[in-house]
Amino acid sequence: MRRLILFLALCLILAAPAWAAGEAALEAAADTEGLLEAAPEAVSDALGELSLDGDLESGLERLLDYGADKLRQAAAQAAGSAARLVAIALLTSLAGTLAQGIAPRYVRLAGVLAATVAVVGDMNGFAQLGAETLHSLSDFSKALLPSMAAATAAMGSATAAAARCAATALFVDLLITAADRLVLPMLQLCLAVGVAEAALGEDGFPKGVTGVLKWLCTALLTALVLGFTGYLAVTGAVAGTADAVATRVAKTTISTALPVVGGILSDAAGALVAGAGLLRSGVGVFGLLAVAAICLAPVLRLGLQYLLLKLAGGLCAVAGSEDVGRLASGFGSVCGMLLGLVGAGAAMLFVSLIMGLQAVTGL
Amino acid sequence: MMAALQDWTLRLCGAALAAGAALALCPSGMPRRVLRLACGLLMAVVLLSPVADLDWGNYAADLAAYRQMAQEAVLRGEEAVSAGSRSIIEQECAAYVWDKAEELGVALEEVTVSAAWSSEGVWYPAEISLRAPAGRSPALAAMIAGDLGIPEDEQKWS
Repeated sequence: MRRLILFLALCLILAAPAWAAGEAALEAAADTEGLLEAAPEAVSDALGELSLDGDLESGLERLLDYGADKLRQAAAQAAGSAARLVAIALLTSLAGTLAQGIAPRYVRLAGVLAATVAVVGDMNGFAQLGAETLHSLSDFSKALLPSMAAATAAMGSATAAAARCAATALFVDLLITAADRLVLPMLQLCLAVGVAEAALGEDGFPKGVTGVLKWLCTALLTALVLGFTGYLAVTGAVAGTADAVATRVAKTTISTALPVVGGILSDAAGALVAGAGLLRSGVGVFGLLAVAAICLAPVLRLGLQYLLLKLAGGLCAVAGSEDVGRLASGFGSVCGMLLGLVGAGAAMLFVSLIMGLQAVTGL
Repeated sequence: MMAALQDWTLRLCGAALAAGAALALCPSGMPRRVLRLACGLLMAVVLLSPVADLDWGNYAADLAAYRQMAQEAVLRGEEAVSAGSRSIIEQECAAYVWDKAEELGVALEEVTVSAAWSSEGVWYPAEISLRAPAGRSPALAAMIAGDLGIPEDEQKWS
């Protein structure tokens, strides 16, 4: 027993340079340097110095600090938009009260026009922000997904890693295309229809148009995310079974054909799997933090804008200008849809990374 | 994207104007109800027309490209593991020989093990080079052949 322990200790000491070389080879295969370079500026702003040390707690702390700073900026901007709308509603209501004859109708129209001018520039900016965030996620995922696939394959889950990487890349691409070709144009149309509804009044515009558009956007995003998650679950189960079978066959062969060397082979495989596991955890945790960092500022901006516009809609209605109130609420709904769009992209990458981190290897 | 959005908006406006004009000219009654249904279907088709504009053929090529990217990444990972595994096996087998040589009282100056890829998909020690001042040790050679599976033909003593 003592000799066995001495032998294992000697193997550990003499094999250390080989293991270090193995880790360097794994990092090169996963292109960890390329991954760190591909991270957008928002990631370094949020996380500071970029590394793959796998420290989730400190990363989350840095994200929280970054989020707190961005929250203040987002709150100020969102409050400004909402305050402008409430002020316009108050003035419109006051002017409408003082006007006589057919003037109240034109006062109402002027109020809607003023509210549109006050906020539409911001709304276009939000649409641009949503599109840019999705494209940032897509560009970063092109470096992240292959790194994660290489690290997971090194642990013995080659089939599942390849399936997950290809599926995630394809669905993110589908989401970008759906956003550029369908969702964002529909949201622009929602804005236009919302303005038309507010300007023409309740009886002057066909009802339900914005509801249909919102339903279409929601259904499309939900279908994409659910379809992606279901596809990953099914392919992961099938591919994972294939990986486990291949690994079991390899274990049996090692054990029976090479009795003394079998132990050495198992030790080598175990050491490499442990190294690959550390690398996979590092890449996975960095990926999760980076995706969160890319989405944090836009999510805070859009989320706060959604809440404050909905609140402004209620306040405008209370102030007596229901048209401006409906307009504000409609703008808020569009912000909510944009938030859902960004969230869908982030959710796809989160699901893929978490499934990659939880993948059970056969070794 | 802006060009596509402009085109879609123009198509929607054109369809809305045409539908509005047709409904305005149509007499009331059954013809108007039928025309209203047709205009609704027209608007729905125009609304969803960007879906038909998607180049589905491109997606087959995109899927193939993503699968290629994934396979290349997986291959890099597997190759790194294979190279690392070979290096570790060679080092550990050499360490084993050093340990056994010390037990047998055989002085060695250098031990180099070369691994080969087996048909079963694992690296195994295939050759060994030893430099011993006292020359070949039959006991050590027999141990290497028995424990590590390296036949005496593949053992190079100097």
